[in-house]
Amino acid sequence: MLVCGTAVGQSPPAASPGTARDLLAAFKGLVGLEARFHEEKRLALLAAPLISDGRIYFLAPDHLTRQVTSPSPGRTTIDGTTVSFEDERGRHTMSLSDNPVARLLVLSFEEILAGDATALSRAYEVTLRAGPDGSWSLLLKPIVEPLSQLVAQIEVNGRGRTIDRMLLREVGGDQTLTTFSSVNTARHFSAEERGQIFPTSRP
Amino acid sequence: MTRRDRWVVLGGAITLAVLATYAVLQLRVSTDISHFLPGADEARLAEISTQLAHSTLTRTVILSLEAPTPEESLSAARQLADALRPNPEIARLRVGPPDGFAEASYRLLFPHRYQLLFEHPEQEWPAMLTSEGIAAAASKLKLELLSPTGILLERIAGKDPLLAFPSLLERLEAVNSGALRVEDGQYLSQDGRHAILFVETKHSPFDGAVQAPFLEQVQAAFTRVNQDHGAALVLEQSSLSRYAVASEKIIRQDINRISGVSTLAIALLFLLLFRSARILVLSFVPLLFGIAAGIAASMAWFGEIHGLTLAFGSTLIGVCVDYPIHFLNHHSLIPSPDGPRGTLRRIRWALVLGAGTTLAGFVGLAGTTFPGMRELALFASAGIVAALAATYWLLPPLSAAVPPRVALHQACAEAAGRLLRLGAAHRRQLALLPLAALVLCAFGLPRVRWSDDLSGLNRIDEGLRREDERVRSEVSRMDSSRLIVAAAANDAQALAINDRIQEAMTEARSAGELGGFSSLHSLLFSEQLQARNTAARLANLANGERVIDGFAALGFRPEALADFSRELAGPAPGPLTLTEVLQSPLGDLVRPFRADLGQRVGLVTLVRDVSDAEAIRRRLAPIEGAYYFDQEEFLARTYGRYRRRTLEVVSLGILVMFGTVFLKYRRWRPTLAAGLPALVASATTLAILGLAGVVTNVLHVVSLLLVLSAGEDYAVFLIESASEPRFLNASAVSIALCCFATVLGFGLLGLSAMPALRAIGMTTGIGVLISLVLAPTALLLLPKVEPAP
Repeated sequence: MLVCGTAVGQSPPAASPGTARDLLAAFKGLVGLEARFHEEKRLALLAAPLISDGRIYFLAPDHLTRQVTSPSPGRTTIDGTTVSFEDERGRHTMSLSDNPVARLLVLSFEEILAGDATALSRAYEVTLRAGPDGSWSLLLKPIVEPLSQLVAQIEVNGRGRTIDRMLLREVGGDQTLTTFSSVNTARHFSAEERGQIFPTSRP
Repeated sequence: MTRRDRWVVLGGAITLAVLATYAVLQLRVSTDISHFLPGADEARLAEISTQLAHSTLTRTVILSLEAPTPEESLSAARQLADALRPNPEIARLRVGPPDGFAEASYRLLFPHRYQLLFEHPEQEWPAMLTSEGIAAAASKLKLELLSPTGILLERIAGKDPLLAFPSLLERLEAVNSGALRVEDGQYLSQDGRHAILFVETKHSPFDGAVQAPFLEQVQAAFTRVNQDHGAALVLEQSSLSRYAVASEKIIRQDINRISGVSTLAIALLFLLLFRSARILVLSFVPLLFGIAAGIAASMAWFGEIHGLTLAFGSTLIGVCVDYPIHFLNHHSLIPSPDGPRGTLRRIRWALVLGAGTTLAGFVGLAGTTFPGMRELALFASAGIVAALAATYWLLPPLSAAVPPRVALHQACAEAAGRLLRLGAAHRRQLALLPLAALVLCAFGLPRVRWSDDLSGLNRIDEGLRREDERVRSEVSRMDSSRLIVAAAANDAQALAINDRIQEAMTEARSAGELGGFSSLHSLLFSEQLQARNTAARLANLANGERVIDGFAALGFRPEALADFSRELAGPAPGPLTLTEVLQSPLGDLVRPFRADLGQRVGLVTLVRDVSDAEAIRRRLAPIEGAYYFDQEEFLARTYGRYRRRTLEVVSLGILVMFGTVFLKYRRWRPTLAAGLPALVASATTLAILGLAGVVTNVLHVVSLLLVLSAGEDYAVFLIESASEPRFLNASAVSIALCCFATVLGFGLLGLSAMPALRAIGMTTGIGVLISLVLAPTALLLLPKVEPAP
């Protein structure tokens, strides 16, 4: 799952980042972000891909909300190390600190947006492929077990501070492609919006 | 001194040395409150309470380490754990879930997931496997796969499309983390400020000899770690052992202080009246024998001595010192022409009668089912017998044949005698004393307020209590003093009871009778419930065809569910047992829920926010082997029984006392004269406490035994010497001296920081003073005393 695509209010294309740290440093100044996402999961379990659409919101440094509008409404909120799921069945909260694999997976996207190179490099070998037109590809290869037994690679593509798509390849061959559009990397949230979009889930 | 005397003295010295050495070397002080619970044969709750007092729950010390950042807290906690781990007193030390916890949970629980799925398998399995149920399960799996954590499910979804294992993990998570987070494999409070360590000790929290040095070692280890962190760390703890060690420290300090000051005061009084260092030293000989014999007897019989027993033993100073006072006082004032032995022969019956009636009271205590009471009875009885024996055999050979005559002593005796005779000559006025006492009783006794609250006996340090509460609130949301116990002969039976408790508590929670509960049932069902789940699963899901068809209709590939089908076709696994869980890495998680109850096993359900304990009790009543246990309430009930029993013993003691005196005199008048003043003095003491607004407890009642004994001793001495004015003078000053010595000892106990000691001190201090005042009224029942020569 990840962000971005056609950017809204984004800054003019910057020069290609030289290293992954340069790229992540550029993300560090991000205060808020909103984007639409379209996700396709291709799993061996299912004959057809699982498709979902919705919006993603990020509030630095550690609030992330994934609002699904289709196929059925639901919301996932990450607040620090607590993640809560809400859908038609109700609300369920889980501590990521109790589940190191889930934590690494769920927080990795948040760590990119927060420009936390140190946190990323603890779990992944991070490499950057820069294109001539300011585009880039960030490759994350898990280096810690049991994450490395599940995930083969995460590839994040973008331009400047905008993420266009993210591809997660699993060891077993399943993969998830998330594409982002209408990316607003200068999103400011009012106090009311913060309360609505990022409800606190910490006890 | 004759040759025989020398042998007697030598034998006495050896006996004292042996007793004292044994007492000092073997002394182990306990503050285990279970000592003061009724014996195991009285009530099963008492058994449970006693065993829980030594269970994993109570032996666990929780350490909370705070640092400026969570990272530093975790690092300091690791350092502290490394420093503590080699400590031989530590049975287990946990800083986080065991390594490989998730993998171990999977290996242990996944094969048994279908057996551990439903509370009501006969209804829930068929409901899940209807066409609608299967469709709902498939939709649920799709939704879960869509979530950010869906990748974690993909690994098991092919084998477990019904998501039985994840639902089991959700229950496990509730038991595992409680109120704590896990950060880098370590426990951290929810606010991220405190790293938490669980330290299980090998010995009971009430074993002060082990726990005091252990707590010091923990503190020393923390000090070293804190130095490495620039003194930026704060350590807080929660453990029963801290209360126990703190109580023991207060008791020891008070006893040292009180014994020291009372000994000094008594010494000054003796030097003033007798002007003889020899007499002063001699007066302490029976006292030393009494205490050494009391401790030695308790250690030999019980293996340890309770702090309260030891504290009560210090009151023996007041009682045992009476015997040498009577002898030395009589010998100094009116020495027998036959020497010290002659003096002793003259007063021996009064001494024996006094000690005998005191013993009768204490022996009654031995008949109770409270181990602490029995210990108290043994301590006091051994002490009194030893002190009397030392007075009888050792003091005469050690005393001067002709003691020095001290003018002040003689003047005091004459003044006391005159006062006594004045009272005896004016019987109407003397009768005003008991009358006034009875008026006090009429007003005061109805105001006596009894409290059986444990906090009335033990002083809980406020700072410790608040720290304890802070740490506990970081770790668990469950009440620390209320729980439900499933008690049975073995684990399997206890688990069956635990199933029923779970059902009852689920209903109780729905009814708002409690806020929540945590039970081993979340992880493990009884063999019967597991078997019912297996039977219901086999009846409704012999193979996976219907499920696979239902899932295929919603887009799942049937071939991806082949493992699911294969497993269903195989044999069902046997039941998962508590032993298997205990031996797995999940054992640490489960251990606090299990307690050895002697011959039985107890499984504990922790509860929180109980609003209707009676309703919970009613729900548990039909479940044999299920007990709702509120520690504070139970102890209050127990102390109530203890107090009532003691009152019965005191009443019996009064009868025995009258009987013993009657055996000696064979007449009612001297019998009543010996007993009534003591009886009225005891009642008046209680009345004064009531009028003063003192809330009385069991130790006030126990102390009344001493008041009765002392009062009766005073009266007996007056009766024994009433016929001879010279002897009456000596007896008058004797009982005054005894009273002052007792008041000095007990009055200081009344200043103790420990409410238990204060209760003893106030009761006996007031009681013996009133006994002294009322003692002359014994003469009202005797023929008129002759005027002084």
